[in-house]
Amino acid sequence: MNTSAVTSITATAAANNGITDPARFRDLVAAEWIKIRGQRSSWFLVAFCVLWDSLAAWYSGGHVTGVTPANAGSINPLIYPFNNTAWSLLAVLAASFGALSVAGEYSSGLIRSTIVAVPTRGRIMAAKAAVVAVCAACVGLACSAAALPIAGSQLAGKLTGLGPTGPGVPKAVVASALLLAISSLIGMAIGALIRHPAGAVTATWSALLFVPALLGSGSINLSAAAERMPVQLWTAISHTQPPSPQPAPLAPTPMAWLLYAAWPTISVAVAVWVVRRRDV
Amino acid sequence: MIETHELTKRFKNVTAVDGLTFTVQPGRVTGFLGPNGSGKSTTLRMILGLNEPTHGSALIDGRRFRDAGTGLRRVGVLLDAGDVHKGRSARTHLMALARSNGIGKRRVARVLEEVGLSAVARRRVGGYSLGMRQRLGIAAALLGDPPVLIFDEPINGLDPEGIRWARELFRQLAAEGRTVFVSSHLMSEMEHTADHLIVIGGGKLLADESLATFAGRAPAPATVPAVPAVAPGALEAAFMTVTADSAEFRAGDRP
Amino acid sequence: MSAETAVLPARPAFARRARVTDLVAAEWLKLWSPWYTAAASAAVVVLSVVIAQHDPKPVVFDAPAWLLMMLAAGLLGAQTVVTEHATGLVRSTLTAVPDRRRLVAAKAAVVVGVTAALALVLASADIVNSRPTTAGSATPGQIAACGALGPVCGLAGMAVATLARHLATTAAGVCVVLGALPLFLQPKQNRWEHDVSNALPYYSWSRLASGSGTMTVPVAWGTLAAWAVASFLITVIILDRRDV
Repeated sequence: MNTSAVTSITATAAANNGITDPARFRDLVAAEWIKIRGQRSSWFLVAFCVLWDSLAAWYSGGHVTGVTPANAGSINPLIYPFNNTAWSLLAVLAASFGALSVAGEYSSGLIRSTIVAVPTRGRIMAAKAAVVAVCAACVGLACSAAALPIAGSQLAGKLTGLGPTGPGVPKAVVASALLLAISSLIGMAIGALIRHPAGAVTATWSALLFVPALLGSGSINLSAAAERMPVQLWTAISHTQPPSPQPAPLAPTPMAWLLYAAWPTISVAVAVWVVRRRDV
Repeated sequence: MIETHELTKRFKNVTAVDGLTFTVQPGRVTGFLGPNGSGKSTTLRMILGLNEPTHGSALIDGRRFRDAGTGLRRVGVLLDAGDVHKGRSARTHLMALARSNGIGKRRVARVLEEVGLSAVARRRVGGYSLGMRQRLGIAAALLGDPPVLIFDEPINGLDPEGIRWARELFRQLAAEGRTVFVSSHLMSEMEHTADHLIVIGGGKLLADESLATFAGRAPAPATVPAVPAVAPGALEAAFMTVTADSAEFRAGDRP
Repeated sequence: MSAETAVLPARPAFARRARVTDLVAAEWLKLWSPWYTAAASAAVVVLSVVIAQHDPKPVVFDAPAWLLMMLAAGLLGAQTVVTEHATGLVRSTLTAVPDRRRLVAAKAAVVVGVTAALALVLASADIVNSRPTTAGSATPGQIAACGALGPVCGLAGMAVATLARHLATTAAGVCVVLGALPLFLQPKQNRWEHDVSNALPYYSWSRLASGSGTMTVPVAWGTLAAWAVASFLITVIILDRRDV
């Protein structure tokens, strides 16, 4: 390598008054998007989520028994495309994705490069939260878009109301996209607290899937706490009308919406606070 | 210019850095030396706002680095060549860093070319050798064309051609009036690169002087020649003398 | 040939011939040296005791509470394999112990021992806690099933880690195989789900420990044994053939 190459790379050194300060939020968002986009595992995860939800809709829509023209009116068709089991897994996957977006930076050491490039840590976390939540919400929309027509065609002749304008469908689609966004932000908070990929993933699965299952199982009498977990709130908000065979624990009251909003707010606050406070 | 004042860091009951005060001047390459575990990396991390000092302060060009909105155009940094997500390509890694500071794609291509990674830029960093990762780290440091550059052990893993290239790069950057701060434990490398040395041991400042003056501390046989060049081996001998009491890890050491 | 063997120096005074017990001791040391092994084991024991004390159901071994133990045992087994790959320690280990089958056997022995102990501690806590309501009515068969569940999960965790090799993927894999599958697939559903869920260690164990389900006892024991053997074989065979 010759010296002239060295010279040319630094030829613009003289003046350094072009500093953009502070970083534009738009640029920070773009940078976080490049990180997510540039990883194969992100795309595998998206493909898996859509495939999983399509299969779940196809399976649950195809194994409906006991629906007669007489009782069809009392069955909420939304429980098939928005199957609880299927969306619990989607929520946990979104949360794992959020957790890894933070814990992965810490465990690889990339966080040091990131913070040296943008020393205002709160803004980095805000941009990351925005990108992660929007990505998760888009996956949620894609899953709904796949599940609704699949379940609809499986249920053809038995149940109707799964078209884009069906009763409760727009609300369920929005609530579902929000579920994944909220879960991903909870995951980010866990990732910021634990900072180790395996630990963060385990904690995420425990917090969002196993502990609620345990609390709600009747083993110990804490089902009230389990009813305030994101997936249960989602059930309450997205498909409680008309009377469905899958009873929701909470009525879709303003309270459910309030709790739905509290989860991401607290999560982002925790993530920002922890990252700002700790040495890296 | 980098200034530290009474910089101190305590972890529980260990004092890693103890009241360090020094200034790194622009226009020359300043070597940062110390035995393993002497607090070099902790000092660099505090300068960069990665670790919060227990006491004291560190300023880069008169400002606390944590208060800066963007960093790449102020300071170019290579702390650890492993500070990359192994699943991304070199190009994606640099693009993300550049974009966060409003730096364009063309600059990314340019620094990749400079460090000689253009051909492999789309491969996952996980498959890179240590030398290639060092080059990627240097590329990241150059991205913002900054007035201050900090390199922690940049020579590790580089091949002889790479070492010569890095040496020329550091000297060139300093000649342009930038502040270049290079930590290393390779004395022979410092002989070729540094103009000035800051030596610490046990977290305390041991020496802050020109290369020639420092080499003059070498005991007996190594004499300092009249020309500012340093006698081969003199620097290493001087380093051993100065750090004799503070080295934390020494081969054959017994409690 | 004799010239070559002569090059090997005589065993120095500080080393004796390495035995399998030495390998096991080394793995034992590796397992307990990071703080999280002890912390996680203690947390699981405390949590399970608390759950057992607040359990309103009149059964000795309440199934959902044991999910935590299954996860802990699975992760404990998984981390003995995956941390070696993630940190590159595996290269040092295999330089020290080139016979990989012996190495895996030693690892498995430690994992089986520790997870069996963990499971038995929980089982005793459950029995003590349930005495007022069920009069400590645990048969040796039930206790044995509890003791076997730990090792089955530990070995399954090792197999998942061997297949995944990546920290986060392994953690997610263990959570799916040991935790999410039994939650999502339940034997009361249709025929297909019924058969698949009965093949899971969780339901085989709950058949043996609390008598729920339709399996016969030998089938339940067979399922647990099949999981253990298959997991061990996966770990040994893959690790033996893989470049590290």
